[in-house]
Amino acid sequence: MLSLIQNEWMKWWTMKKSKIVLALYVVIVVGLVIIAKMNDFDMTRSDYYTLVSTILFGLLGIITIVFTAETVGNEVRYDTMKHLLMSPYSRMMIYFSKLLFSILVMLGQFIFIAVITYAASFAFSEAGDSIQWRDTVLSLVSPVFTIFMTLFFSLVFRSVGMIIGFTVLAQFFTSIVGNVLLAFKPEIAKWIVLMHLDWSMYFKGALTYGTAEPMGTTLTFSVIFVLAHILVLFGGSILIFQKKSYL
Amino acid sequence: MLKIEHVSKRLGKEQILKDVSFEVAPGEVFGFLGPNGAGKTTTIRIITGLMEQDEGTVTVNGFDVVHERSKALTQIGAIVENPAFYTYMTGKQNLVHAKNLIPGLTQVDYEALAKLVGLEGKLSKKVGEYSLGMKQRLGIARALLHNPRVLILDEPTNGLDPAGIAELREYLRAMAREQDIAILISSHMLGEMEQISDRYAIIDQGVIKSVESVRNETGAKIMIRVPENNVRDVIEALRIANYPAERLNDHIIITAPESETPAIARLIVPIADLHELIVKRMTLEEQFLQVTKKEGDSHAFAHTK
Repeated sequence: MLSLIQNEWMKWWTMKKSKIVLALYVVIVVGLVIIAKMNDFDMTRSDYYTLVSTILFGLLGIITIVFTAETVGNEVRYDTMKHLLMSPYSRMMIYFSKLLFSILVMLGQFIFIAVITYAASFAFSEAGDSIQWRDTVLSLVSPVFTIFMTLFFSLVFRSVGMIIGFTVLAQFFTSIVGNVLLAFKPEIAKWIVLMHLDWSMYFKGALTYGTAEPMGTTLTFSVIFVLAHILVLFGGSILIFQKKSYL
Repeated sequence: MLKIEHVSKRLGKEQILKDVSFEVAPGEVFGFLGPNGAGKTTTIRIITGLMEQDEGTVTVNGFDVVHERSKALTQIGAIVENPAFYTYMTGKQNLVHAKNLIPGLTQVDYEALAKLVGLEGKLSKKVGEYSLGMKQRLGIARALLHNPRVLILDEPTNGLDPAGIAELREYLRAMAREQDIAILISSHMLGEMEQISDRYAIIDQGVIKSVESVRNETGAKIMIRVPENNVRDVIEALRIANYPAERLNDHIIITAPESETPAIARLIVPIADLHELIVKRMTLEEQFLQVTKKEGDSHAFAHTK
């Protein structure tokens, strides 16, 4: 398994875009410090951290879709899937290595973003609330769910463009529909899984605190609902990958 | 040793393979011939675990490809269809990737491997910059990476120049002989296969039509010339001895295994003076046509002699 993950790492790190993305995070973090300082924004460390981490975690969501789509899509693009399937490793093991690697890459970027944003926040005063690490950790739920969803679509479609496009559009439209329903029919909105990916909405002090109120859901409901969807996506992916012919 | 026994495969309503059986022994180069759509690639996909057969078994050194998949596939090196690579990675990175796909394989001498396939000093280049021939060589290097006991090569000479083909031919023959590797080569280049293979199988419409030795002689043409007044007696004697013979101008043409030549000579000499005896071996292409009796399909093959 470790050697399969090493392979995934080699394929990812050799691509220029992996380094470009890391540089992009740094540019945004430093750029926002410069903008804030040049315009004398009245910001505390906590304000800066919350603002920048929200922006970057949003960006991470999109980048996670791209990287996850490519872990399977690129094998089809380069016709290399057959080499993986001809190897002594089982299809299950190959799928697991791709899933685990996608989570690890997302986690690596997540920590990278949190660390550089935290470091840059020292440019601002300590006054105000302290940084909410709980909300930072809870921000992981959405990209983890995104990985399972993208991997599922990457086994349904063959082209990387289709996988990315379909996943982004599915997220985008479901979010819009969910938010519209939240306003007018919250009892229906609660059955849309994307409305349950931000668990900080159940904690006082969080930016999204109270969002779940109209839906009448609890943290336990959201956790179970998201996990159930992950399980379905995971099971569906395994079933498709076991049967799918890449010839 | 590679053993395919009574393998059948149906895709949808179409029967792709019907009761396919053959063996490739250690040290043997085995040609796998057939027109496009005959079932060559499907057979190779089944051998390499990319597809599962409906009936029959495939074993590699005694390990069943379906039930002992990991053990069986560890012993196979293969190029299936075209050699595919991550073009944005270097040749060496692609080989490292292949090494990581073999459990337990730790040490690989990449430079020696590169030298073996004529890619010395080229492994640090990105595969996207390789020519088709270089990719083919890299594909062979990848297939040989873990010293497999069975090597499967699907059209391995595609993209190679004549010198490269000759070099590869010598290399594969030497490797089969010296390292006792069973090599299965699928190709439609009959002339080329004639020079490289020890034995061959012809598959057509999913059925193995013939498994022969390349130097075998099911179809050698033996031409003799005897005095005119003895022709009828000689043909009659050959017919009685079960050697099909016909007259062509002043010669008698006998279709028989080459190994039968001395026996035929002994049969004729008591009847007539033997003025001339010529053994004309059939080319693989001629043998193929004889086996399949499909002259109209000969366009599917290219004879490269």
